[in-house]
Amino acid sequence: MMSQVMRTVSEGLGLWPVISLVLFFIVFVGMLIVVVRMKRSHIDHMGSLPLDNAEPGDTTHA
Amino acid sequence: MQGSVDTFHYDNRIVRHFAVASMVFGVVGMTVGLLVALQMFLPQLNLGTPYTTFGRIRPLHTNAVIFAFVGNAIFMGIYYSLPRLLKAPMWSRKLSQVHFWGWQSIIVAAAITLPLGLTTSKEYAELEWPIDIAIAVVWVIFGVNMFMTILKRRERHLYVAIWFYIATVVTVAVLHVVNSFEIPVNLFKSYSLYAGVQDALVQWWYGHNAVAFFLTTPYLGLMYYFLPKAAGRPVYSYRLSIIHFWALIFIYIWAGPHHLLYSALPDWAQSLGTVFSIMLIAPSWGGMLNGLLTLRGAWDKVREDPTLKFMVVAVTAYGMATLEGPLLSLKSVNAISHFTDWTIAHVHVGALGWNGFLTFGILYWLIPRMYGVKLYSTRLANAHFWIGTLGILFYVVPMYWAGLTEGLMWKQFTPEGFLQYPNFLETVLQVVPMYITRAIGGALFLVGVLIGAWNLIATARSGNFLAEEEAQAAPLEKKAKSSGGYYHRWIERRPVQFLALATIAVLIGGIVEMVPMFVIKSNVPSIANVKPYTPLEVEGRDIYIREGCVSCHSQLVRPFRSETERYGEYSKAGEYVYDHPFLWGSKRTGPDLHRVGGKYPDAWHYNHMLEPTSMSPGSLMPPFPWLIENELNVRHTPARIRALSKLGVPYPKGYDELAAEELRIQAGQIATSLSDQGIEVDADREIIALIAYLQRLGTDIQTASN
Repeated sequence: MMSQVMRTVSEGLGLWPVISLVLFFIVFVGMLIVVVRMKRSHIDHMGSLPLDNAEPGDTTHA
Repeated sequence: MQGSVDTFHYDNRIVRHFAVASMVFGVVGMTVGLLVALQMFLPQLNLGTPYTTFGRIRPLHTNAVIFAFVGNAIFMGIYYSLPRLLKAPMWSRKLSQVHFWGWQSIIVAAAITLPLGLTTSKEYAELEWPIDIAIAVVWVIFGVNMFMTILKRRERHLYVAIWFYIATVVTVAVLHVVNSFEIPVNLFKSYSLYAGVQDALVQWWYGHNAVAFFLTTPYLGLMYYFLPKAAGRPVYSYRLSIIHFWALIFIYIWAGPHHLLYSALPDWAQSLGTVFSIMLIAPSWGGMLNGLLTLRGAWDKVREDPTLKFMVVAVTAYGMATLEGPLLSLKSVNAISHFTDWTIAHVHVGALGWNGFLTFGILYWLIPRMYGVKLYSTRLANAHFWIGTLGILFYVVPMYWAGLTEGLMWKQFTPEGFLQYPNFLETVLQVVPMYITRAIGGALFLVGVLIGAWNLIATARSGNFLAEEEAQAAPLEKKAKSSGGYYHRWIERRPVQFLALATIAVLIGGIVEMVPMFVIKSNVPSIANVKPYTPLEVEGRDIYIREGCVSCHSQLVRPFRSETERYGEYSKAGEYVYDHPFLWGSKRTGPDLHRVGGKYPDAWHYNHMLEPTSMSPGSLMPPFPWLIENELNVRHTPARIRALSKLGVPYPKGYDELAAEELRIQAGQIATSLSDQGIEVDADREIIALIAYLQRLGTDIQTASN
């Protein structure tokens, strides 16, 4: 069975570069669309997450 | 929302555990590093024992620094930042403890087995199979604890640092498992499932991404948490950090083959590695700029705050190393840089600058806070900063110089068309002054670390450790109403989907590279004359692996005239089909050995192993007298043959039974040949097996041409 799977894979390898290119394109375009459409308020919220906790032992910073 | 607020406690003890472990193993790993640096020009510092010889302790240095120093620092940072970003303590303190002690036991096991010569020889994956299994188990424990914490969180959205942590956990697990497939011979020895070119591809897919997902992504997560903390302002662009993340994890995984340029790896795979390496500049520099621009308007703080100083140099080093990496992936640059000390310079910009300095920056921020005091001495921290920075410069500048010198000298021809430096040793002795300066740089860096350790201990002593840090937060509403419904928000709120997407992104590159490599026969054209190693040669090869010869000697003649003139016919993919594991190496402190078979008489090898300078005056190679004293252990020879047969090496049926006898006959022949050349040695010594292997290397295709 394994050899059959391998044969199917190797016969379809001509499509390999095309599939990779399409995937690549989709990932990057998708990412850019998502990022551009993000709301300002949401971005501000996300950016401030690390600063939420005041350090109880924080005496070194004013 | 109103009303119910949970009170809970963050566990600072586990953070302190990892911090201490990171510092202790950092000092140990760097001290070993200094020792190997000294051995590069003072061979007598190999101390005359197998356990302290370069080939065995060089992997000890790399493993200690990567997995013990950096590894523990990663866990320190994650166990501090993850609960705070999620407003929830770690899911299980017991698992945190098991993780800590499990990881330290693995480090101790590595520190014992590597000097004993128990190694797979695959770089940064040297540990043998029982330890590999332990690593997988401990890693899964860490992953479960982390993921359950994420599921029990009180902050709906996952901050970008957490994505980097998730990508790290998933990808390191995948890399480790795929690269560690091996068939055990006995408890301490195994053979890689893959052979030759395929083993090389898998190993450098692993090696490259170990740098990416162990030394880079978790540290980027730490950068995105601790840099805004230390600067007291949010990251410059959260949008950019999203692009940084997805682009980085998607592209990084494809770039592994750039470690194998001009090798016997098929050209398409090499080109793929180069293209993706160039693309990596974009997300890497996006990340660096995002880090540095976080400090916009806060540069006055950098002048006073040692934490920020360390972080600025760290992020800058990240930018430098990630620009240089792609440049080294260009074939024309790689032709000169590969196998030289240039690579050593490159990795130390990353290790000392990026990982080292970010770790110290975080420690200077973290320890005072966990002890509720000010840093004991800012002046000492500044001293550490400057000594460390000088140390980095004294380390990397001579190594760049050495790398260029080696690369150019190896390729230099006279006007008549002969190699100008036909004696390899000449090119080694030329860079000795650079090795000396490098050791000074390393020593300076280590002095800085010791000052830092003392400063941190003094800080801890002057304060009271806050083991349990109380915090309050409202629990998550059971069903939050979706406000907006943009896709990324959707991902940020659903860790399981996020995990799946990140895994897919990471797997694509590996699959695209590896599947064709394994299924298309023409990628490794077979050579009829290439035959399996004899039992004695198999034993010799395993001694070669045990002694870490691969640390300094490559077995890959690249298709350049300068190399074919020096070494002989360039290496073909089909010659390595029985090499479990491959032994191409990544650095030539000594000459390539792929065509060493038949080049010298047996007696030359015998004398050379006993005292290298007797054959090559001025040689920096350590002597290996124990190979002559030690009796060859043939107890496992049949098991070795059986394991190799299982991997597809075509030994005849029942050959394991005959192996001992064949081994004895071949050993006798070599002993006789040595005796003819005036050297009396018993045929049952390890040296005989090693000579058998060395004399076989690269000779199969010569029989073809005859």
